[in-house]
Amino acid sequence: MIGAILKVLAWLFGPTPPTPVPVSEPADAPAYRLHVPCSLIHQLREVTRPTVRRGEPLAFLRVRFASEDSRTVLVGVGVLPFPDEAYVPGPAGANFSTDWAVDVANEQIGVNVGLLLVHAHGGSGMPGFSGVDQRTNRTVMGALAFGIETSPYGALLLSDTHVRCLLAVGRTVMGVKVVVVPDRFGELLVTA
Amino acid sequence: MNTQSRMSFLGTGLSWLRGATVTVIGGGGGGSHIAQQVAHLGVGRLAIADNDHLEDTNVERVVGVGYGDVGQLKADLLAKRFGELKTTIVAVPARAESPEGRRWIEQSEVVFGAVDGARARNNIERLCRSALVPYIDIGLTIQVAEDDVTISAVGGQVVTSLPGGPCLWCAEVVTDDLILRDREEYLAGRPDQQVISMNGLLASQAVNGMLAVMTGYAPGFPLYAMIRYDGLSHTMQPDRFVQGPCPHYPLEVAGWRYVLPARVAAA
Repeated sequence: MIGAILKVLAWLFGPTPPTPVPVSEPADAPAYRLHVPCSLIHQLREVTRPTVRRGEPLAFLRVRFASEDSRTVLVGVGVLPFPDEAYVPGPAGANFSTDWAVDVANEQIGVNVGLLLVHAHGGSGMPGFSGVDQRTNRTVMGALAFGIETSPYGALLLSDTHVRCLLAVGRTVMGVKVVVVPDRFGELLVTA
Repeated sequence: MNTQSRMSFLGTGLSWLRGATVTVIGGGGGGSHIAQQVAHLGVGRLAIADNDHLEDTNVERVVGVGYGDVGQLKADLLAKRFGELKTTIVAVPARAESPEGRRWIEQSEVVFGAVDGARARNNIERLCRSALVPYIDIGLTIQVAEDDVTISAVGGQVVTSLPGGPCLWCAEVVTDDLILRDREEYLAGRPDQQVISMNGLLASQAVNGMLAVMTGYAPGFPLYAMIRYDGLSHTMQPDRFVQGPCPHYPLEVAGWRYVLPARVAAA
């Protein structure tokens, strides 16, 4: 049922012209923040590193809103690498089954957890979402977020040095300030 | 040469400071010292949260105030006193647990707590852990005998509570007994013994802790989660036993979780 709704929404959202994606520089006075422990960023870098078998591995970052009052601060609570069965053949660098994504989202929503779709572009500096990424963010992550107010959905893009994050809000995506939180003493290697 | 050239040893940490929001909960003896130092460091935004008014018994411990300020809100006073530095300071005349206080905690890169009592500490830490915000807590206890003169112990601590790391419960700075005792001592109306010099020492170490964790200026030198102060032997020592993952606040439970209403069985 949800899958069918997603397909309809994707059909509805698909033809719309690409929306300019706000960037997540601090100067943007970001309304949205993601607090993510340093160890999870390290974990994400590990699981999204290209391998011989998989050129662009994907993962979900499991996230919640920080509190009941707040819909602007997100916290990262876990990493969910995509298993082999989540990938499907297709034209993009990485193609995944939206049915599988919907199943995962439904499972996670029971504990108020939403999902950020994560992949890596490598290199240094602030990474930028490609056109394909932006369409996926709108159609897939936007559709997952549709009508769900209790869990956040969006996307996260890693370079070797920085992190960019977007949150699906209504019919658009918003830039998010990423705050990498030290969760062990003496180690804060990521600037974001 | 720029205004921060004598802090260049902090490296890229300087830009972190300029972009950071820091909240100080408590504008009393400890919190005023912390607020002063954080403002001088040049952080982007500093929120000072305290809903108390200055009393004449506070003046000898709260930095930046005078007897003419008695009766005014501590948060307002400190925001005015340190407001001429580069840091944007916001006075938050509210408790940490209030919606406004919570909003500032959630919007912060680091929160400092300089409050009286285990219950208040516990509440602040719970909010910080939920929002995955590092929390640095200071506390000082001067124990005197019934004659109010003989000192039996002077103990203090600085606890750096990072998500996933040891918490105030791990450090036994918060226990069920201490929370209960808060109420008894409040009802007894006996004033806490405090002194500006010892408050200042703990506050300085707390700010050093923030610099160490967030700027990493001393890689390879461990910062311990808990540092104990003994005011009789004039020593500060790390407590090496407070370490390891925290069983009280697992990362998995951070953030807002639904509590489903209990199902009532049909009669």
